[in-house]
Amino acid sequence: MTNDKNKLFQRSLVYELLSHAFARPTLNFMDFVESGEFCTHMVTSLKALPYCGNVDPHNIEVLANRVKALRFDGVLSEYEEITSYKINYLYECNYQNRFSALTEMADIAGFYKAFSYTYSGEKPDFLPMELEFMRMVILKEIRAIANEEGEKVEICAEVQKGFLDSHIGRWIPLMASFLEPFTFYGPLAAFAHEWIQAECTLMGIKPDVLDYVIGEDKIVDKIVDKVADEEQCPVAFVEDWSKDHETLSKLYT
Amino acid sequence: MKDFSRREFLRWTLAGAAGLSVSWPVSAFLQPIDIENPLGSYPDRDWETVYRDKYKYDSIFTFTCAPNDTHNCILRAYVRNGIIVRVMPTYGFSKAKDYYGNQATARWEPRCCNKAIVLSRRFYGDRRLKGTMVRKGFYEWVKAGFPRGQEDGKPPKEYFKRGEDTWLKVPHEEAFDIVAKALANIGTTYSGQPGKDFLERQGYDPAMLEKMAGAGTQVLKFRGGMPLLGITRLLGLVRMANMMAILDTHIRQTTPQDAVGGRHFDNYSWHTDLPPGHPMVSGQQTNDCDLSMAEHAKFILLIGMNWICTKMPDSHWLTEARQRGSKVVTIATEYQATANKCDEVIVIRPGTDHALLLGIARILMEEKLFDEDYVKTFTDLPILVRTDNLQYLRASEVVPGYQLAALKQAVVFTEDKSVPPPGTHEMQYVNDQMRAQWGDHLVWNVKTDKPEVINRDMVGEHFKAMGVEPALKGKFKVTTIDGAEVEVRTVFDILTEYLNEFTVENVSEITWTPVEAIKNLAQYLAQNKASTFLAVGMGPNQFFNAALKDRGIHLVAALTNNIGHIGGSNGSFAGNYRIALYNGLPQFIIENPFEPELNPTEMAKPKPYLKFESAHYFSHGDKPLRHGNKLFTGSTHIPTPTKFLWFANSNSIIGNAKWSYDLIVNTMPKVEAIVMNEWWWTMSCEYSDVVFGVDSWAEFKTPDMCGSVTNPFNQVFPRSPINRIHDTIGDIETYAGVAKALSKMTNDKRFENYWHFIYKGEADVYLDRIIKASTSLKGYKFSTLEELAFNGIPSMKNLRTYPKVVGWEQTNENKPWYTKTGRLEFYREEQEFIETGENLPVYREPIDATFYEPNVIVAGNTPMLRPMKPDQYGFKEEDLDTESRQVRNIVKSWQELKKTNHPLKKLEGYKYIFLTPKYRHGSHSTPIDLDVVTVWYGPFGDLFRHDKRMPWVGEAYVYINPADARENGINDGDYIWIDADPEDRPYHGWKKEDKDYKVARLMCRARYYKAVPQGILMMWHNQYQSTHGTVKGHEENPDGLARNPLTNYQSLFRYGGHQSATRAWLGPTLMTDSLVRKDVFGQKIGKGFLPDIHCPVGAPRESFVKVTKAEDGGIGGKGLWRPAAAGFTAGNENDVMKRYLNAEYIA
Repeated sequence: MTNDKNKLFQRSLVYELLSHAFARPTLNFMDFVESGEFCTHMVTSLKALPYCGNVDPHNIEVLANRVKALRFDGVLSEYEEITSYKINYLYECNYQNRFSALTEMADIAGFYKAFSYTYSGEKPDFLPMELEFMRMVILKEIRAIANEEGEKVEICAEVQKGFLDSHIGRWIPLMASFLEPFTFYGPLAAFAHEWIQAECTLMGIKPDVLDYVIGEDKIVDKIVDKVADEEQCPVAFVEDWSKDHETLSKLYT
Repeated sequence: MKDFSRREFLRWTLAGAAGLSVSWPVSAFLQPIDIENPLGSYPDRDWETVYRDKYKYDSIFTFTCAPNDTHNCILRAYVRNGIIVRVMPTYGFSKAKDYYGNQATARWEPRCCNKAIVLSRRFYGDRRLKGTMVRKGFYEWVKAGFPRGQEDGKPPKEYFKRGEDTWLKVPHEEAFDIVAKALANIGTTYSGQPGKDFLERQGYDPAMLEKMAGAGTQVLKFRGGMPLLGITRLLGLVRMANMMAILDTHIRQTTPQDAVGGRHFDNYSWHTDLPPGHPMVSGQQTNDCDLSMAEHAKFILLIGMNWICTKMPDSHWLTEARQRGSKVVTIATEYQATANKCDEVIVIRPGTDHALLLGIARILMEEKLFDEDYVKTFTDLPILVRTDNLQYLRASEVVPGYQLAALKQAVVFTEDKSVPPPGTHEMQYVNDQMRAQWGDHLVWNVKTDKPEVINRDMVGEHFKAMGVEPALKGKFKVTTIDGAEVEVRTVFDILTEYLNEFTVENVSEITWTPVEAIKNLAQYLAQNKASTFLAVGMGPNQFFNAALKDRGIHLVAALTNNIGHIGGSNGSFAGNYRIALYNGLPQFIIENPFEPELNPTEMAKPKPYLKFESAHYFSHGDKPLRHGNKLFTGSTHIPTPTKFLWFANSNSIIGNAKWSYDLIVNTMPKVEAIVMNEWWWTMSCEYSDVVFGVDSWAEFKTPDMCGSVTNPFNQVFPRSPINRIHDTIGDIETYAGVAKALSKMTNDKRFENYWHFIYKGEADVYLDRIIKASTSLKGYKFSTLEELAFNGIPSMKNLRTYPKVVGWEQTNENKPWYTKTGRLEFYREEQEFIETGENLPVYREPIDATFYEPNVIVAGNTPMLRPMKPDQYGFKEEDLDTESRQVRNIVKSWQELKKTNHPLKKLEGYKYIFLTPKYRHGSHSTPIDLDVVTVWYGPFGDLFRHDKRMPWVGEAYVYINPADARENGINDGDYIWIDADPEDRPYHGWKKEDKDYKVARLMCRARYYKAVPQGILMMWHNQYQSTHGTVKGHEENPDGLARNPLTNYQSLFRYGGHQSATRAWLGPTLMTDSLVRKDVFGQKIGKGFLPDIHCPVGAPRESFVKVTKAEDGGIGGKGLWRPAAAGFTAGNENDVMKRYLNAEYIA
């Protein structure tokens, strides 16, 4: 295996491991984590990727002990929690605007379709599926390199960039912030965040990261305050509201 | 060129490369289109222009939206990359035709409401079932071999921690096996004498055990929820219940002839949608018409019908009618959204609609404003009643040797001869015994001053042809054949006497309606004979006096000849009940399970083995009404114990059941298996044992049909071209799957054969049989209808008139009604009616939602009312507990009644009537928890959830008059507690320290609302209520969401729900064995119990409550709720707002 191909392969392995780690826990996989094999493979892959110097393996190293402490039922319980809070944290479109979420979902599905993949049993914006897509495209790139198909290599490289930039690179940071308090999924998500950041750096892209956190926005309060504070006909404030149109549009449309 | 085969690909996976000790699929989520060469395909360089254009769609397809609001719209889905990105109307309704070429107009367009527009968000929502789930404890009980107590046969409690247990996702096939085993085990356990012994020791009513007659299959209950919303996918559960007869042959070794199937619960009546008095007057399930009839009416009287809110795709008919000049008046308990579409608004005291109608009837009769011709020819008002025994006078009693008339408008058959299939009935079918019991009746002929015999054929012109001039008023003497002289009176005369109590002054006091408004209403009706549309909603139907109200509505309609005319008729609009229009359904739902027809070109041979019962007994502690010394539930109605329950498409049987917390805490622990089909996790799923994850409307792989109550369209669910979003299956596949598992278990192929065409993917065979046998669909072919539907075009049922108007044939073609007399009957002579004092359409006070003594019959001196007294039933007159009230027949005049009080008034704080009508924007529970719908639903919508106490992005609230609120120290937006009768609510036996009580006690926001009168509280109905899981989630989730962390179920309440204050109420006259009524399908007339026609309906608006402040409404419980503090809400207006309301800002 050439050096380039090996690096690509190691990248694909990281995506593959992450994809399984964010899927609904199974006894087999949790044994794999608890035995330390998951960490070993992950660290081995990272070491083969020089651009990952900033990715802290500690978040992966702790996972075996976390599984020991929580046991399988505990991890499953955490998984149920992270998929049942105000949003299910593992779906990209739950972070998207409510009124354009399905357009984004269709866009994700468009990536899969273009590269001749279909899906079933899950929505296309499910994190493990997005991670798996990255893995498959990397494998396609390896294949194209092996076959010396330059244009296909380029297409594969571009699509990784595009998918990170439009989708997976945008919402993983926010997801990681939500999952921070969790014993198993906290460090796993932190690792995923650093990994994706390293990938973006590798690709030379800076995705427009989603920073919309439910409950933090004060725009509506501001308008209510304004109406309440000034002794004018409430309807007259419609004009003033329009000044906030741009901000509101961002939120609601 | 070197290529990567699948083998090569495997090498590139972690498992392949590292030789891992664990195994997993090499691609767990994405499936390569080219399986052999999973990496071999690459797109062109410009792929993004094709696959990433956000504004393009690749394809469109149609699906039918069939929520529980029942309107049913075929919609167009726009698809990009396999994802439904938006939903729009098809604009195909105007192209719909019936078989004869009659075409709908463009005025039906566009047909799509706000719920449908955001439906795709629900298809892809977080609460979708991703597969089939089994509750862990139940799974373990099954795996342990169904262990039971030796003495009483009960399963150990540790397996039944419903609502708090975890769930296992299992393959559908495994779930099929589990359900099959449960059916067999439970059916076997409760069969024969050993089963009866167990049930006796468990404390079931002996009448219920007798009803089982030893068949354990009778404890297996099924319910396809709102079955007209899917005539095979939902009514398939009727077929399942019928199939249980095969199981019975295995359990009891019976022959097919003696086998007994399972039981199926009612629907329309369970939802309190059936207007129970309609069959009492006409024998017909429901007299109604399409809502498009509004445009033919000159006067539209809305009675408790919030048309604009609850009939969204059909609301335009009302507004357009008014634009065309129709006068519109609404009678409601609050100033509602429909009010501003009306010329006059009458706000009445809740539950007093009937008193108002009686007041109007009195004016019409007293001032001779009624249509004498209609009254004499189509009603029983001229018929003579004996004053001694309160029965109709029979010809055989006064005419020696009287021979019953030979009927020309009915086929009289002997019971041993089978009646032809319903779809072939061209006239009524009456069995000879009933015909003999009914006899022929008499009127007093003014011309001859003698009684005159009439028979049930003699209606309309047929009566006129007799040349008889019937007296309407008067007392007469007749001599019976045994020589006795008895007094007789006309029904009209008896009614006139009764109505003396309903003077405009009294009615005004009873109902809070101004005297002028009552008089005006009578005048409007009198001026608009045959052109008044009396549209009745669920408001008055949800009180205990609902049946009497229906009799009053028919009385007013009949007096003004407003029945059966296009433009002049009445209608009750709720639920979905026009299943009678699909009268070929027996072909599918009761096909003989022992002889299923496997030849697709042949018709099936229907044979019913199942039985039906009302779910109200289940919600009444799984028991009939036995009180004092009497069993009030008629023998035809008696339920059996409920041990296994399988329902589909229905949150109403648990999650939105009346008295739901009593059901959960006290009744459901007696049920041993609860199976449910759902695509969206509801409150009912929370308390089930097996939940089959089924397809959403957009994903149906098996086609189906449905119909609606408010329009003439026949809708098809075409096969969906999109992939299933999750690991779901079709509802009908779950039945077929369990049947297959039963075949495997019993080695009996008959179970499997019963669903033969489902396995073959040919559901069309069943649908075509239904079509072929249905009067209104004959001539169609399902494949044609499906093709039309796929192009967005519904078909039309082949009806005699558009709009459809029930009663049109009676009024215009002189056909008899489905009653003993053939006329609309306002007098009820059956013993059950006489002993309750309801032989006349009396007004009864509401049973709980009243400030006065509950359920009292309001009457002056009326000798023809002779109800049984409490002491005759073995309890005391002063017993006013909730069970006694149902059978307590006390007569008082209004002057006496108004001095009394509701018994709860003795307790501090109890003084409010609590109503739960169906609500705006959401209209029923199906879409209400969808975030973008929830925020619109009320004033507490906040997508950001600034206040972490909020259960969701919006929440349940109660409308309260500001004066009432202030009296209780409640500010606008505060959280409050609402407590109903502590005797039995939220559930029997509650204790403050119980965790169940914490879940069940109702907390909600208070909303100042001047549109509700003082003394009345109003909360929208059909919300998702609290469960053990959501309360845990609310208290433990860091974000405070009332969401079950184990299931994702989302409540709109922090605690309790709108059903915390309701209970089961069983009306004695809804449980008779004697009421004559038409069968569901065809024109055969029978009597006694019939599901969705003559059975209890409950009374979910009957609550009397107190309110207590719980928490401040400001964020985090500090201070005032923000909009109230800002001074822009009702009752809290600041100076700016007051000036605005006074129009002081107008230049």
